[in-house]
Amino acid sequence: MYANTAEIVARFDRARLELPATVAEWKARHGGKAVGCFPMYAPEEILHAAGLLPVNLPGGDRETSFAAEHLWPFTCHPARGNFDLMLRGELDFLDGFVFAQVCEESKKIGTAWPVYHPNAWHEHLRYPERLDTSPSRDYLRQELRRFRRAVESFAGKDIADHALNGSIALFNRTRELLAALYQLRRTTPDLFTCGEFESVVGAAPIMPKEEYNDLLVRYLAIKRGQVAPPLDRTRLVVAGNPCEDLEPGLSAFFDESGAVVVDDDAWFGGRYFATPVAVCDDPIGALTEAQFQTPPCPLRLRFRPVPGRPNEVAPVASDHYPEGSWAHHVLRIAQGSSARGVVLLIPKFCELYPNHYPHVRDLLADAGIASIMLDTDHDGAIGQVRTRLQAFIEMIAEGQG
Amino acid sequence: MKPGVQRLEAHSQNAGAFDAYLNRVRNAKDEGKHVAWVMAATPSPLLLAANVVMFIADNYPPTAAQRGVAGPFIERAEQAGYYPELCSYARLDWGSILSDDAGGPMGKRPKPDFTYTSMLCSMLRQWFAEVARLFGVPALILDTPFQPDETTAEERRAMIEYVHEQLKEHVAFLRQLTGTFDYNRLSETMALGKQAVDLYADIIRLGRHKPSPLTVFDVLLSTLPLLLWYTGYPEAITYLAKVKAELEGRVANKQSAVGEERFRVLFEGIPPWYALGTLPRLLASHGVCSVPASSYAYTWCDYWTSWDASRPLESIAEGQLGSRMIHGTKYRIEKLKQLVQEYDLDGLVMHVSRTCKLYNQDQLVVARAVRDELGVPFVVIEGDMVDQRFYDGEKATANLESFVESLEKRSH
Repeated sequence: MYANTAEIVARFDRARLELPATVAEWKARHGGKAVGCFPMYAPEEILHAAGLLPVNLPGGDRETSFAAEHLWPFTCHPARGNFDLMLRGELDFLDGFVFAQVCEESKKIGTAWPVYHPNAWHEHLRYPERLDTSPSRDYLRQELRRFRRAVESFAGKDIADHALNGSIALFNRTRELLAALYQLRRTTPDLFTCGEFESVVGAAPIMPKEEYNDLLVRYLAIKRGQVAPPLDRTRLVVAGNPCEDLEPGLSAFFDESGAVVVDDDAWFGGRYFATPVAVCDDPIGALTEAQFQTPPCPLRLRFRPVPGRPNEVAPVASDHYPEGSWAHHVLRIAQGSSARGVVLLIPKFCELYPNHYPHVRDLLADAGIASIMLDTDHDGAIGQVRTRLQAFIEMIAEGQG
Repeated sequence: MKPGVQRLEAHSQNAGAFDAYLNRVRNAKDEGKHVAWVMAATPSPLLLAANVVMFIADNYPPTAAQRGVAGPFIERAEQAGYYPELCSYARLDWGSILSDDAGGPMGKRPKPDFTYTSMLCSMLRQWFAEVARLFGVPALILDTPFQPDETTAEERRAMIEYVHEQLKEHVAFLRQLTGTFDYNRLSETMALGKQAVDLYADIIRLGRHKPSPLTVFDVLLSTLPLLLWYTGYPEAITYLAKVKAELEGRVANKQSAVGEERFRVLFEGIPPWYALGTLPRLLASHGVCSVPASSYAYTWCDYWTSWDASRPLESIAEGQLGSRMIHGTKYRIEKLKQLVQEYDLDGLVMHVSRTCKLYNQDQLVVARAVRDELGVPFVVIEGDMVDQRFYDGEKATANLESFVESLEKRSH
């Protein structure tokens, strides 16, 4: 079984495209409950340690006519798409839901959810939106302790520290393997098509980690043994795309277009594995600290204000990301992978990511890197996106970027 | 009396309040004071205790929209690369900054020494952080977690503690910036602020009388700004007391705010500020009184009624978590039902502000629940708070007129 990468990729695709079957298989083997997480940023290790299967909900690709009765059409697709699936009963294979409060959609859609779906377990992570101060750290630690108790109550099982550390180690293994995969892509991007890479990485937030890690080990071993003829493709970085998987058809477009994505800061991508969690005597403390060490993103404020100093040079909470702004993080990724252009993807109507665009664009431009921001809606209408991207790629290839 | 808008005399008497507020802001630097651009619900006594002058930044976009000068600023922001679906308050403000406020409703605004907002919504944090970036100054953000419906009293305590701890940090910031933080002044201004908001709450509750002596538009255009510009200042009490006295006179005389009150509705959502010349007249001409019972009108009471000068920071923290807009859907359904019953309403006018996710995200869920549980119908008007491109005046008029017809049929 799984003698070659095509078979492994087919398994990853099946996990992504047939999510209910993936969960049903897991339940048949383990007999536990499965929990949908929206958006990403739930401490999955706590759910796993209680014997639950955490599944990050990618949002679906179909039209959202059920949700249209209850939500305005200018709700972002990740929220609208998942709400629509819930109304259709297509998330009934999940026993509970965890909503991480990171934006207005996740707050309001999260608390509207039980109005329509009262019988499933639901839990809301009341996250701080500042990660720049010691009160935030204390508050977050307390919130994760509360979440642990809520999960224990739902699972009917106490979570021992050693079990939680075991889950942290398992998820760290996923992070380590994905980091190795990303390193391989940065150095030899021509080993991959964008479509294949999306299949491999996009399955990570969805699949049971035990199975995923085994498959990824095999996949990496085979890939490392391969040699690809160098292709002269335009090196791009994809950043953003919060709360959902990539727009359908986009990876295929990159593969046709003469461009290659060499790194990303996408949610169902590089951001998912970016921060390892320490295995230690205080696992909740370690999970708290890990959130403070996540790469900067528009959802959390990282600056500690100091009179007379602009935010950009104020001290920040993370040791690993001293600049603190998302724009600097995107610049670092682009420079670290020798990209010539950055594609910022946002779900249409998202409000937290796009307001950073002028800052990101200007920083990148100062470093000689081109950028474009595109909004997507998972509605199948990506003609305009393709046209704009094609022009962007041609502009870079002609040296005008 | 014939249906139509009945203006309040007190509001004309208070007409100088805006210029006086502006002069305070404009003269601040000359007087050696620091200036903060703040969101209106930010705890003003904290800033007054540090002798900082507040420019109420979220009052600027409505003022620009009412004066018909919003469009060029919004377009300027979009030219600079800001996404057209972003909060139009923020877009307008950024566009105005990038235009050096040229053509704006109050001339050149003084540069802030810092920005300060609480987190009524996530976008506010982004808006004020971006203003700070554009000016190269720090942004002070008071993180006030959203409270889902299951939040227990103990969990709420933890949130209050979190906000309280941040306020202590903000006091340290202010002291470091200005070299002063006067706790006596904090208590004094809180007491004044509390008196003012109590008066404001009395005023909007007068709308429970039949007929109502005032509409929500009186509150939005004249009463609420007085509270926002003057919280913590004695003038707020003088101004608001005049309004209250006149309204009590109207109640005694059974005088309606719309001449002849035929229907009572609640105008819900953040308002379309550019249409507040036409919509009140349209509604009043049909004898429809939009009573001052909206979540928007009430959220200011949620913030400030808890203020207690004897335990200043803690009670400010409680107030900051009090806004109904940072509570779960079921909580807000109950709050809206309560208003419908207290004000004995015939219908809801739901204004959908396209770019205000704070108000629009579960607005339809809430409206449907209130309709289904209380049998009170609603009508939707699509628009935006200051981006008029999302508003179709003819369609809004047609929707409202057909809603009035349906209310007439129901009443027969």
